[in-house]
Amino acid sequence: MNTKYQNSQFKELITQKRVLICCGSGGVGKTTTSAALALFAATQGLKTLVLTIDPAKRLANSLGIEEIDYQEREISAAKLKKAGIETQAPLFAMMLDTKHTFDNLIKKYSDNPKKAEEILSNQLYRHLSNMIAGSQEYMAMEKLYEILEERDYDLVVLDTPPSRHALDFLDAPRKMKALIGDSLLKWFLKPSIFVGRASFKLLDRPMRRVFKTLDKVAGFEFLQDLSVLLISTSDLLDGFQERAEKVETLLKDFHTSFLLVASPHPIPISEANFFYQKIKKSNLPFSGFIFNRVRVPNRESLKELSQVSSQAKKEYQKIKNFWNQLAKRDQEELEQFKESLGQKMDALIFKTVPEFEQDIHDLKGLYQLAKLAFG
Amino acid sequence: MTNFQTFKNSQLWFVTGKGGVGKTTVVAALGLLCAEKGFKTLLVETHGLNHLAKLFEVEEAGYQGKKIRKNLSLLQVTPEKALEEYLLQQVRFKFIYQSLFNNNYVRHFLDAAPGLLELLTIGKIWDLADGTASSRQKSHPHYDLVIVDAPSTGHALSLLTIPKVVDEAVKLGPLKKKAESILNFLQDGDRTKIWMVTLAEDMPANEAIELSKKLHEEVNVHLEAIFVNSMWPQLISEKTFAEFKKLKIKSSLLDFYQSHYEQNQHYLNLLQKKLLHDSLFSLPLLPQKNSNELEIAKALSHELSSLLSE
Repeated sequence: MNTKYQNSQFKELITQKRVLICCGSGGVGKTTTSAALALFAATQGLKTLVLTIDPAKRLANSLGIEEIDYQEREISAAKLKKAGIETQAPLFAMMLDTKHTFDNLIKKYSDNPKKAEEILSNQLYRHLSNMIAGSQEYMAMEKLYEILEERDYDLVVLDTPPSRHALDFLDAPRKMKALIGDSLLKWFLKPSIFVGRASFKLLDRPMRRVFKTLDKVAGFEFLQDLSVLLISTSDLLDGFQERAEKVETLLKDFHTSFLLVASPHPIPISEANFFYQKIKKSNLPFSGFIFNRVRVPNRESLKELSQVSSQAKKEYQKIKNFWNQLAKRDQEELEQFKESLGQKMDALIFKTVPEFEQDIHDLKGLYQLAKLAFG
Repeated sequence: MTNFQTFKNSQLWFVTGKGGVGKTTVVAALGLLCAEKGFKTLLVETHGLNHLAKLFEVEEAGYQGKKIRKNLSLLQVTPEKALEEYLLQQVRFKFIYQSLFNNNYVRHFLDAAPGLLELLTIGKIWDLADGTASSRQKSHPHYDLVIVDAPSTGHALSLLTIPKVVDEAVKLGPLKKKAESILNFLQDGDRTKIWMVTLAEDMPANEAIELSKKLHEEVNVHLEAIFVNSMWPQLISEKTFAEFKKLKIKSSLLDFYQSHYEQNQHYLNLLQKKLLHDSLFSLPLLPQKNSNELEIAKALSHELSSLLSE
């Protein structure tokens, strides 16, 4: 293991940064890691919030955020003490529901409630608002921005949705700008055009051709529905865009940093690589990697083994071989990944956390993890 | 019970499951097995992933697809390509298509149309799988079976729901027709089989239960079978355990093994109880000499072969 980098790196990280964003593919323990990191920060005297998405039920329960109520919940000192944890500053947790955050955003940027209602009740919007690429991820950032503006946390740890699209929101402002920037598109979206087929006559020939084809491709009614949705949302886009730019500035700030969480298996590693490239390409501040569930070779040698039957000895050895084979695989994966990073790795955190005997689902388990991984 | 006899006439297999449960390896194993049984099989990846190409150690397959071994091909569906293809099919004349596709306004419009790209992705998959759709000129060879590695639970669900959404939201036109045909195909349990891969652990098990409910309620499709992946095998007998216990030998290795094994059994029971499914297959955790995923997929396909021929 890398001896050059000690756990003190995390102490440094949490004191230097105000926002830590954990990215990674699904099933690698991202939520648990985020919660443990926040807990660690609180034991180091930082008033900390962990913003999480879809935690396992039992973990949510132990953090006291089993209900989605958009509230930051303090984990009481008594509860922490009961789990044997001494925090030096308060710890808060909050669960994000991205679908509703999107609705709230529409309400916020609409001129009046009637208009907001119009959008929210649009059939297409209702079905599709959770499908717009990157919108979920964008909402997480939006909430983060709001919290940093309005609250005085020393540190906020953000757990991102487990998808490749977690960084798509970075393209969102540009995409929107391209869309509304087109004055012709605005004209194109005028409702009068869609009043009836008769209005086709008003179009010049090339435009008429485009329309006819679009109609053929998508269907007239569909276009009409879509145009109504786009018209009602286009006014919002200015406010939206301004905010998106602010969020981008925040993400590139010196006080923000990204961490990648992965596990030592081919797919999570290839996903970590994908994220790493994307983070670099987007010029985002990056601190390093945390590898969870790493199976380490078991080296126990039991003197008492001489007392058991030969069958029992054989079976014990079978388990040991099985486990050590798995461990060897993990070590190989990690070595390969490190090699692929080359010298760049020297400036980065590279933390491996061994697989635990049990799922972590309570504060005690989280604390154990926090001490082991960061303390 | 599920076995090869009951699904040899199916045309589309959709493999879903949470990230990190080993779904891609199971897809590869199913592909290897079906190819071996003599089905001309196509594996499909969506959302710009190319994990299967890596697993089979081949170059990226692309939208046109590529044969990777006997009876087995690989293809990547990208929504942009699907859009291009769809427009060409509808418009027929390339120059009109070009004026349309190269028109910035139209492009932005289509880009911003929520759900459209998803519909075209599932549409392309349907197109590949539906052997009876002969009215159109086929742009690809015939496959007996198409197996889709659907990315994550959320994305899989949105791919499967979108035809229904469009069918309900759009009143007429070609999109509605397309959505209708896809929906019929997906809901036809003889032609379309939906599989799920999960783990006998807290999060994946609960998410699997949730997904199974949603598939039923929102898309009206049902799961053909559930693969519970990476199960710790029983490596030690009761007798040996008792021996260690009696002699009060403390072994971190045995404790570790025991706790994982018990956890697996606990969540397997939970899955059985909540899913009430008669086709719940356990796939073992396979230790290999090296981390070669193709070897693991091959070993897994042997496991599947014996499970599915029972």
